Amino acid sequence: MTTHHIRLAFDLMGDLFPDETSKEVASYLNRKGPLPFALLVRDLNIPAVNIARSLATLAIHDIIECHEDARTNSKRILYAFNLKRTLYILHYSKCIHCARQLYGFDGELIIEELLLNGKQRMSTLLVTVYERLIKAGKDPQIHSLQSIKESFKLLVSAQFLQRITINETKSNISTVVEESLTNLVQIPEITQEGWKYLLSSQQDESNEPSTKKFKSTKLIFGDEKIFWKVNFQRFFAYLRDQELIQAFTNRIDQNAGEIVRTILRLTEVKPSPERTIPISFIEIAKTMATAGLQMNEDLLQKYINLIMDDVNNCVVKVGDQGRGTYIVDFQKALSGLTKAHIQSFLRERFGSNALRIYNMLEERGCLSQKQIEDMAMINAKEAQQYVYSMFIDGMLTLEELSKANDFNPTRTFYFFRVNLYNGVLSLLDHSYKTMSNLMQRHQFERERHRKLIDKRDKVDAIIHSLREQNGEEEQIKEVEDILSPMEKEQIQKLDAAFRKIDLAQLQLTETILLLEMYLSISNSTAPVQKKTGSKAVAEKLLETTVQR
Amino acid sequence: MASGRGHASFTIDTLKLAKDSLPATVNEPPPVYPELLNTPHSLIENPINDYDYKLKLKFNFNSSFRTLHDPTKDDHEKNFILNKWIEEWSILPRELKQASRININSSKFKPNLLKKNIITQNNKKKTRFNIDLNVYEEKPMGDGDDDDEQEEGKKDDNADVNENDDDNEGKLKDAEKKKLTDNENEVDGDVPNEEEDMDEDEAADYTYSYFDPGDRDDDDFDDDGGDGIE
Repeated sequence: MTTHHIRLAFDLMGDLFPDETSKEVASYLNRKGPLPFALLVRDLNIPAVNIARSLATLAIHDIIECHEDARTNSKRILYAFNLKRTLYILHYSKCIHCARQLYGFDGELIIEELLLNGKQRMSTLLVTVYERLIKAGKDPQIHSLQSIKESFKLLVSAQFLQRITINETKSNISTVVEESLTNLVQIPEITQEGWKYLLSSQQDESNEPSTKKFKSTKLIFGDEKIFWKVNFQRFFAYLRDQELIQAFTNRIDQNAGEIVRTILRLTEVKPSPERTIPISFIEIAKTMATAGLQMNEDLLQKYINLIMDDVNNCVVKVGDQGRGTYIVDFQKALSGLTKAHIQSFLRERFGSNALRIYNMLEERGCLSQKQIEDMAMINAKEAQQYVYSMFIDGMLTLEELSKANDFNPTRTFYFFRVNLYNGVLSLLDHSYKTMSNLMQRHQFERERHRKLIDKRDKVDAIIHSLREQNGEEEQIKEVEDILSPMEKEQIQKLDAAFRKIDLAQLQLTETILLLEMYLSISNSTAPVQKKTGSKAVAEKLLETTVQR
Repeated sequence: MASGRGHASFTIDTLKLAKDSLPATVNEPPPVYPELLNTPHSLIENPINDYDYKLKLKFNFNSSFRTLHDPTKDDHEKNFILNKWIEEWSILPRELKQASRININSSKFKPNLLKKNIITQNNKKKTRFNIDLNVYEEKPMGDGDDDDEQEEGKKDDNADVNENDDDNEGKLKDAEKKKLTDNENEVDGDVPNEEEDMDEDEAADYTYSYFDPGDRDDDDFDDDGGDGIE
């Protein structure tokens, strides 16, 4: 884990958890590895109560994992910090947006509630979502408890939600029961009385749900031990599919995008990260017909041939049953997508000549400096500059091949190679750093203009309340005039700046997601960098060439 | 060849070096940011990817999250989040539940004191223990550090001797609350804190000793824990 990686994780945590305790506890655990509670209390200067509370919160969100110390047989609970899960915070809003697109407002609220609370039972979830809908002013006939439950069912069957059953045991922590595959998608049945209670509170249109909540006897809803949480991997897979479809739509045609979407949808039955199960041509044709897309078989065949001819080889033909069986190879697809990202990065950073060198190197394998200059038809100085810059950034790797036994510089070949894995690693690091910088800049600007922002918020609140009470236009105008025109201008600029920062963050998250997915799925290892200080030498050389 | 006194003692010519092999002279401080060779692309604006909606989602989510998990805000401020954050103890380890419950019975007082001077305090306590054998009941209170250590003692099955001592001393706390009026045994600098906390800690210690799982079976002086209440 690089510094930037870790710093970003803590920036995200500091953003969401306003008190400093969680951040301190997490950073301490990150430094020292898994620790039992007692050691945390001893070492940190925070009262034990606060530590316990923040550990509880973080554990429910899975940012900190609790497991029994199996090594020493002492039944202690060790708390370990999960860095990867913390970085998923970046993708929260994307997941909510996906849910919105697929399952409407109900789905969006379900996912949002689950992300706010970490894990929840289905009964509590249904009730909270329903109340939020009512408060947001939606029609209770359309968005009834039944419809929310339907959306919940759909989410579960598509595996966007994961199920956890706990088993209360005598030991210090309740164990998680192993789930059979069928169990994973089973919705718990709510008991009769529980359901009746929910329905009755639904028909009662009072706006004060809290008064109705607690009856004299505690209700048993029947799913006390079953918790649900958001399945991030599934969301990422969905986003990856979207990217792939988008890529094909951009490259070929809208119809091609639709075809790829059908293939991917058919394979959702048995998702696996690397490649899909084979789908036959007949199935594709049938599904497309039922989906209402007009395409006769000839056209479909032509499109599929075109898709298969794509440079990345992501859709491959594996057999001939059913007039051709096809699979989508995610490894190749992701590497194609990341390659595109890296290429655009290189073009933006160093110019199109550098990109040309990069592409050439990729085709040819390995080349020495002289050969690069000759083949790319770029003058020596510039070529050297580009190659060394790319090398420093991690896109190219250097390989030394010596003619003699000793590595005499005059008698060794120095070859440059393109290494996608390495490049992605360094680009990802850059992105993490950029993300941290954006967040810090946002924070800084907010602090700098705090007074102005507070004033604007107050004015907005007053205007809002006035409008609710149907105040007169004059009053509203008066309130608006509290802010002088100069201040209004400043606020406009500030808003534009904030919007830029936020937009940049959003687009950066998309890149980060793609790069991370590529890393997780690729099975190459980083090349062994010999400790020859070659990067330092390259930097030195760059300096002198720039001077001259 | 002039040398010293404001004249260069050697020049490039005398050294017979190539003209451009010396490092460049530094005329100004290095730039704050590395130079940008190409200006970056402008950001992709809204209509393509629904960015406005996503930004709104993100902003709402973040503010809801922060209010939900903010321990200082009261319930009435969280009125747009209908449920306050309740920890689900069934999925969490049992020790966390106990640890965070310590203060529930006592009203809102400030939590246990930060650890300070624990080492010096220990020494002083121990010496006093030796010296004032018959009046150890009038020993001044330990500060809130005791509570921390007592909790450790609870969970840690292999409580070592030091922790046991602190347990004992903490238990005596209850008894001494009323009795301690003079400052003869107290250490300077800790006096005001100890005085303050004594009244407030009263209830907490009662709860604590009530929940204590019997780490203290080896106490052999009178059980003054019960007197702490009234």
